[in-house]
Amino acid sequence: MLKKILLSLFLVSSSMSFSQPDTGKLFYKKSIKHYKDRNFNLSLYFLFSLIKKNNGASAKEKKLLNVLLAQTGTLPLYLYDVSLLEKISNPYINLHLANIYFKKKMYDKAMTYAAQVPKKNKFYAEAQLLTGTTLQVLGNPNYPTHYKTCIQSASSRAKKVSNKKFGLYYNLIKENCQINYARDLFKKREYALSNATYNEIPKTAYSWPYILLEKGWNYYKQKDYNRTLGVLMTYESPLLSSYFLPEAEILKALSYYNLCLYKDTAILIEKFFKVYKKRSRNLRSFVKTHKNPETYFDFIDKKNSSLIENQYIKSLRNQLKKKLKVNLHYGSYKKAKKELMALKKKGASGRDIKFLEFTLKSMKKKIGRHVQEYFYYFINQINFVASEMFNIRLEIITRKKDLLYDDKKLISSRARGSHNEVNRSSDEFFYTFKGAFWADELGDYSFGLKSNCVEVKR
Amino acid sequence: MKKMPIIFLFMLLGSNINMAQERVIKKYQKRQKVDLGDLEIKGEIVTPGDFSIQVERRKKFSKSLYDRNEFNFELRNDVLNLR
Repeated sequence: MLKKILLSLFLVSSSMSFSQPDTGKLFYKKSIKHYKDRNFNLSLYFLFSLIKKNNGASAKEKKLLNVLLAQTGTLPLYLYDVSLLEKISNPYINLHLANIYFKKKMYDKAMTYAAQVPKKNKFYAEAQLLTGTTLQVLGNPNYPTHYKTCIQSASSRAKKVSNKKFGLYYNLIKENCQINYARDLFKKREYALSNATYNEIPKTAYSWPYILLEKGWNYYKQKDYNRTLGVLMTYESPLLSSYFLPEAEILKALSYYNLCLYKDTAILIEKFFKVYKKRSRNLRSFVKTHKNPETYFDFIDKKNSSLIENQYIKSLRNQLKKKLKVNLHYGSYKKAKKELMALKKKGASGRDIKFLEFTLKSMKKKIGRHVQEYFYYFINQINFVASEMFNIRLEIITRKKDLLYDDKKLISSRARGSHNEVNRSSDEFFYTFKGAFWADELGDYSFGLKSNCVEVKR
Repeated sequence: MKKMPIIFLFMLLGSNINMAQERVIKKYQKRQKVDLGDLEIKGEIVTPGDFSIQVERRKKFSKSLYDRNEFNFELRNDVLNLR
């Protein structure tokens, strides 16, 4: 709120300082000048001042806006009032507004703005993803068409772009649309089909580590507990050590529990409490001591990363840095910082420098708040998982007590595992790992545990 | 006073006669068989007729453990992580 007031003051003061009749022309001139000097954030500011003055944008101004936003990214848009942005029809702004309303759960408005992104625009795939997700969340059955368009558009764009980062962006959008489709199949209890959709996502994809858990749930629902345990085993790989998914621990415990391997379940729960208690304590103390969002920005900023000693918190940072939003916004911040340095070097006016300093501070806060939210999410996840783990432990005690009262015991004299217990499809095969490299088989493991759920008389 | 010794003498003789009459010797069988099944016990049942102890099935309580049916949170979160 405060930043909006400050920015309004900037805008008002700029209107006052240019109170001559040709203020608009001056704004435009300034905007063009800064654009030519590659001061894109400042140029954007003057352009918005002009739009505010004129209560709208001309075709020429819209064109300039497009060019500027391509340079700055959408992060600076958070500094401007929504009511001002709503006056401008621009794909960047439409997408930005759609995201804002999506976050506020104002889905109708979110879809209206997403629909305004034209088909030929580079953000069309993302807009389709947003519309599809909104419809899916609302339970509207028409969402798959949007995902199909999203996949088509993102795939063709990914092939065309030469910039590696843009390629990654389009692939990520495409993967998100595929994943959402798989998620809906899961909801419809079409578990095998859902996993087939997940399998279309390459192992090199950014989203791949996250979908392992969802794939695990599909196997679990099909009562293939060995495959569930195998898929989740992938998180033990050193390549995925920075991924933080405590829910995987619940799913592991539930799989052992359903195989009636109570001892294994108990060991797993014990291990969870041992490991995560410490992690939770570390996180809590970090959150308690650091309440300023800017500290969280420093957390992901390269320069300050050496300040973090805790290995676990460091791995969380690595996980967060891989998020698209953090990546894009951090990129925008770096560009704005570069702009400020250049302006200072040139000896620009104090007012321009002040504005950019304010912009940078706001950007830092915005990114920091997002990271901070994640920290709270991580803590809540650990607490939630801990309570569920406790429930499983109680249930094991109850089952053991029932067996005792019924004068029975579980048949446990049999062999622990066997190849016969592994369910596999025609394209999956056993691998001996003799001299093999640990990576290409990731995500395709299966346990071979036999169910211990046969009760015998004591 | 002279009659007293005579009475005492009669009493003494009388007691000797009684003792001679009570000395009865009973002889029991060395082994005796008792058929308990043939015994008939007469009496009344005072407890209610339908009273009995049954082994009832113990009620088993089970907690509903964590389960997932959708990924709505992840759906939303993925979009919120874009911009």
